[in-house]
Amino acid sequence: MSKAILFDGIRSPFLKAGTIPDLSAVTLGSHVLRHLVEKYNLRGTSPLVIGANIGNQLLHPDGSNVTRYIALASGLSQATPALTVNINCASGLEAVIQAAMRVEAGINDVVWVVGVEVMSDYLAVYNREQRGVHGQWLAASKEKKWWKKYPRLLSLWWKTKTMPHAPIWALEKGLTDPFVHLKMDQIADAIANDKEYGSSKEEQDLFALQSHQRASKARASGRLAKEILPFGKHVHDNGIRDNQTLDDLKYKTKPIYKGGTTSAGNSSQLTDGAVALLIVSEEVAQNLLTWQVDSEKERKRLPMAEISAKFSGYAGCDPARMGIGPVGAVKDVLNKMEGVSLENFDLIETNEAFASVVLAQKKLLEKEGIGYLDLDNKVNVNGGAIALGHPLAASGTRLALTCAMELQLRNLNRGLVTLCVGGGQGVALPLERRTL
Amino acid sequence: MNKYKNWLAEEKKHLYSLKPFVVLKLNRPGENTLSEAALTELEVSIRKDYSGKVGGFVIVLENCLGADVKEIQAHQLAPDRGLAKNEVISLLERAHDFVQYLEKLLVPTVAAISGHCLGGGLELAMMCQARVLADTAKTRVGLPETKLGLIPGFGGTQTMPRLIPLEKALELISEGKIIGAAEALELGLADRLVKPENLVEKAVDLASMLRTGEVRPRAKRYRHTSWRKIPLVGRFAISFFTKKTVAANESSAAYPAAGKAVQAILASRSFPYGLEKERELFVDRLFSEESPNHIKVFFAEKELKKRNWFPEIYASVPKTVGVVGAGVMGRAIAYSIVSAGIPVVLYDNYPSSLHAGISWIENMFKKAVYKGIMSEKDAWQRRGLLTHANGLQGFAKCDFVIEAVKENLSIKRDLFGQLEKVVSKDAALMTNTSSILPSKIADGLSCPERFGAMHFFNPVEKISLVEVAGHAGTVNLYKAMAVELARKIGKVPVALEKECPELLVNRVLIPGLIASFTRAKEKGIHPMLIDRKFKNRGMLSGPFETGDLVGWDVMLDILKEISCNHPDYPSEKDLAKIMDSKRLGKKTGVGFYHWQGDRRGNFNDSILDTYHTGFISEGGSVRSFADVMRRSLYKGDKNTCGVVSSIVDEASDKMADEAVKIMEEGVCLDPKVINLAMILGCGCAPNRGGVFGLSPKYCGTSFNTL
Repeated sequence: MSKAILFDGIRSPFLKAGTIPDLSAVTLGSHVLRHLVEKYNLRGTSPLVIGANIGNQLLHPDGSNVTRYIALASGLSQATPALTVNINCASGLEAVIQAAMRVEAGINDVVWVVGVEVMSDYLAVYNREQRGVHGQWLAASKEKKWWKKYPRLLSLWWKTKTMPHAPIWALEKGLTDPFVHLKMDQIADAIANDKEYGSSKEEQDLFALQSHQRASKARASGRLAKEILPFGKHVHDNGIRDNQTLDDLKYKTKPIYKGGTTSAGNSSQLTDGAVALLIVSEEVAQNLLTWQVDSEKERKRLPMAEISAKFSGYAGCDPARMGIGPVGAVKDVLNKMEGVSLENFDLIETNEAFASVVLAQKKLLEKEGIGYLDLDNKVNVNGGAIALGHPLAASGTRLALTCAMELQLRNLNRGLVTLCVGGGQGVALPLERRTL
Repeated sequence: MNKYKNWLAEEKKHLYSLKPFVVLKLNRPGENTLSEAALTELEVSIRKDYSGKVGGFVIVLENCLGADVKEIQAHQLAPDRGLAKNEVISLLERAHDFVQYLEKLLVPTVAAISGHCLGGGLELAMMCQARVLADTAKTRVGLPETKLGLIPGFGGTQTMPRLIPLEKALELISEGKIIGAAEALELGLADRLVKPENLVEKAVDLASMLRTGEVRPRAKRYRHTSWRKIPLVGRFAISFFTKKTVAANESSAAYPAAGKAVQAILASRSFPYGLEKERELFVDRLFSEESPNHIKVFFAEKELKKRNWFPEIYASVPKTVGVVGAGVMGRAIAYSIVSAGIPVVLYDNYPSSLHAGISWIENMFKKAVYKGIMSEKDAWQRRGLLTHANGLQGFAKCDFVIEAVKENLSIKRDLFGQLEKVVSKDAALMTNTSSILPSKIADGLSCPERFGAMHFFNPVEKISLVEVAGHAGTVNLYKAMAVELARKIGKVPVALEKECPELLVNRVLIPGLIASFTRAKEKGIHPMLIDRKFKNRGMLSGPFETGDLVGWDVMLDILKEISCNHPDYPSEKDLAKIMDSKRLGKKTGVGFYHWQGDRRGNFNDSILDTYHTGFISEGGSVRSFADVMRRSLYKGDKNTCGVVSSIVDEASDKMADEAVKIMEEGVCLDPKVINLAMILGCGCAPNRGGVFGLSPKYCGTSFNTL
């Protein structure tokens, strides 16, 4: 393990809140970072940015650092540290990778990973105009001269009543790329219309049908029940449509944008979900298996898989074509693992953000000579996000869980989990089945 | 306990009646048919044994297939015709006497139906005062006697129009249509639909309600068409409906009984008069020329379905079937397999075709549920068995693959070469093509012994024939698997000993088609005349219509393949000149005829100009041959008729000659099988006994058997 060195730094003046009225965190942060970036030529290195920010990212309604509160509410002791990571859609997988990193580096020997997203609890916030007006109330009420105070209060009251009440919905904002100002489904349409890796509505509908059919079969055969812990009276995933027909996809779900092919039927669903994983060192795993696992069935099923953070793959792409990121990420993984090609992976779990995205990934992987994505036998064999749903941060963790479990059940060796990330990135992580 | 051999009699007490109700259930070991003995016992039980002692009768018919066809056939084939006629007339008189007795019976009679109830069984039920049907998809009722060349003889032509509207009765009887429980309730044929467990109970309840007068039986009166109520003109409404119904039944020449049945239905002077007319027409049809052939076809088809083609091999039905190609044939094959409960993986190179194919299959399921053939639960379950593949890798788990892609040798060779690498060594690979020899495709394969041909016919839902053939190296196990699969999905399999170009049915059909094509051109005869003549003789569709149905592009491909063996056939250039890419027949909507969907429209007159581009000079004026043809359509003189007959005779003879060649080459050794295959595969004269019966040269020989 090599040592880390702090080389240089710069900061912006710390100004009182309100000094600059329309300041955005992106402007301020990039101002300082750009100075360092332009100062040093770092060609030939593999950089990573770890950011830290609390309130400028549409603060969670349950507070800042929701992981700490989940940890305390789950009964873990107050001394257990808790942190939240954010790489947009692949946050769940990123959490797994960082957990693996910490275990490999020897910092922690047990890491709990929890990916949770409750998309129905997203905030709606006042827009800038509303915030401006509401923000002036306090100042107006502190005015001492009564002939200035009451007219000011009256005019503010009038402005409050007449200004358009159009809050910013965090859901909409979160699913819009702020760099290219495109919504995720517009990007999916653009990917579908692309000449190189585009797909027709029929192909997308067929893929969506396949996802629902596989998920339905998996649910009926009890495969999904193996991963699920019932929550109150909810026992099954309720996004899966058992009797999905192509006609329904064609006629009931029309394309969202005119002239487009993405529809509600062949996109992932807005879902609430949570996934928890336990990532431990080998010693702890051996310990647990010997002393704490009683039933034979469990003993055969556990442990699930081995993760090597050093083989995780990251890639970036054009934010206006977010969705093809996994192609680069898979390439990265294969470059890092010597002697392994895409055919060596027995199961691949990819996030079906949109049907067009997965079909584009397949075409690009073949085009760039990386390998053949076997949608029939290897990819999402128990259905994917189109049927089950895509709770943003929980998806990555769910894919890791379902891939590992499927490897165990089918007695196969290598699995690959990959996600496309809104903003134009891709993350991939290989898993290997382990028996102790 | 059981007094009767054919019926189970049980007395049931009911709360509201002093006398018990008698439940008579038809119970014959083996097939449940109403033989003479069964009817006699029924008569005896109702007229003598229980008369006066019971409150009512409930007749339970479960899977009753009507009158015993063997007995009818025995009368038909009896050596002394006069004696047989008298016997049949006396039997019918007795039966109709019983019908009228039941009409006048003071105690209520209720029929309880579940499963199939066809022909005589339904007629017995219609005689009763009320009918209770079990509300499942298996309940099918109808009067299919016209398919055997007969008319309903147990009073059906008189009782049915008195229960359901006249035009519906005309339709059902002349087409021999079989309907489900929901439709029966709608029409008025069924009085109640109940759950199958409660059938007898509810029937007895209904009988008691009839007895107390709480419920009145459905009035048996002639339900005229609404048009007949229009004064003066109304009388002609019936003849209009008659013509429409009988003409709609296109194969009226092959099934002339349809017209006679309509006659019987319309004999509406009074019930006894109608029954007398029915007797007359029944005897007329029984001893006609077509009926014995139809009945022989009926029995021969049953036998052929059960025939064990490879007795020394035990082959099981495949567990997962893959279908490559989701075109017109591929999707129909996939549907017929998946609706029998076998999982199917469907794939097509073009995603839009795959999408269209799967949509079509889903639509077929919807139609099946609507018609009452399948329950909705069953339909969803079987729909779930159909999955699609994204590439040939998806066939990894299939143990039987059928290919139905474009008729191109190199495409098929490539496809099978790639498929071989994906499927297991024991999987059978079958091609649906008949125009390319199996051995040519099997040439490049590494394991050719599991390759064969399994040929379905278009439209797959209507034609129940499947030809199975293999090249010289095909192991019989795989052919046996194909035969078992065909049987499981309800088709009639015919296994050929050897391969030959075009396999059986097409090989026999094509010489006839080519002969009529060339001769019509030579002699200036309008194609419609030839089609009409063939239809009069009993072919389901004439040669030009068949060409349109198949598609002239397919015919072109076929011609290319076989023209090397037959130098006298017209070259494909002649054909290509006539049929440009817009006039391929049914698939493009216009060919020799206009087509709207599945229905044939009028003749396409403009095609005559390209059909024969020659000119003829007669009596000083120059006429185009096309005009000569047009004139011949309206001439109608003896000369033209003679020429048409000779053309049709020649074409039929050529077909029979080809069939004899098939027997000589050893492809299929049994003339019975050839006749039946032609009847099932292309509707070739079931009223004359098949292809040998159709041709004047062979109809007297021993080949004309069934």
